[in-house]
Amino acid sequence: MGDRWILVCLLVALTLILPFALSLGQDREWAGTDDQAVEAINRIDPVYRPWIGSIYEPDETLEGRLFLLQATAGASLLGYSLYRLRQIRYRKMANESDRH
Amino acid sequence: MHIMEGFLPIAHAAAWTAVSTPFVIHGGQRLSRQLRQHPESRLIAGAAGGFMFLFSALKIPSVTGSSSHPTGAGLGAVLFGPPAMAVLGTIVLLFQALLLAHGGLTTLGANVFSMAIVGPWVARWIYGLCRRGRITAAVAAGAAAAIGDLSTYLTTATQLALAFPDSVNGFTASFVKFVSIYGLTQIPLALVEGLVTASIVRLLLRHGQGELTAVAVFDKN
Repeated sequence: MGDRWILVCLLVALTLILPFALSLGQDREWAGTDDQAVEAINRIDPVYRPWIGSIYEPDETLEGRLFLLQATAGASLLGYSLYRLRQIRYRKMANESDRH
Repeated sequence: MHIMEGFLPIAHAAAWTAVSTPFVIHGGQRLSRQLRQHPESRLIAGAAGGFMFLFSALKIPSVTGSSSHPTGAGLGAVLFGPPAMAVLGTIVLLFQALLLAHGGLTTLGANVFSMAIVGPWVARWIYGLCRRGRITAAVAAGAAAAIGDLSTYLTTATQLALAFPDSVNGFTASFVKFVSIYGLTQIPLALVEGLVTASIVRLLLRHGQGELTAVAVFDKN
């Protein structure tokens, strides 16, 4: 069981690292698919302009940090929930063994 | 995945919003009822929501040379059911639209439809198929998450192709174009999402069984 875990971690790490490894030595920016979609729209319909803009648009550094904030908030919530679930389970197991 | 603010013509934006609204309302009712009747399911909801927040914030480079976000909706769909995901997904998308200029308010309906409705329902369907095929819950959840992720992007491609059909070859040509942008890039990301989802489901099964059986309709424990 432990072996399979390692395999999963390796696969995930490989999938994430591979793009960087392949791009070594090249000077390239990672284009986001959302930006590419906008380009495609512009090519299909050059006349189209977005009819409304975002209410608030953070600058690039702030955007990076806000994404990080979102990821951290999510990770914290996820970790906390899993931790509490584990606590409850162990408490239940302890109660059951006390009764016996 | 997220159609940017203003990049759906007003008619399309309105239409998708109208389509998504009943799902979100129904999902909200189901979710609040579930949380009231089973207070312990709040932790599972926290895990599902937290996972979605985390994963949709990750911008991951792909082997194709571009980068994209996974959806993180598969886990919640398997644990909580698709109706609740409509609500959780809306919250995530709203956060990103308001604070990050990622997606938009006019495109919220369309993005909710692809990421919080189609994705979870496809994930649930795949999960059911896998379980009937005697596949273990964790692997089934992983497959469900990965395929659900891809279905979200296919939906986005469809939405964009409907709004911007190619002047010569119509919907099909546009659809192919958008799928080629999203599709190949997304495959490794969907894989990662599937693997991580499978791992978490396994963790949950070992440490949170009581809560899972109370909440998750689809878990066969």
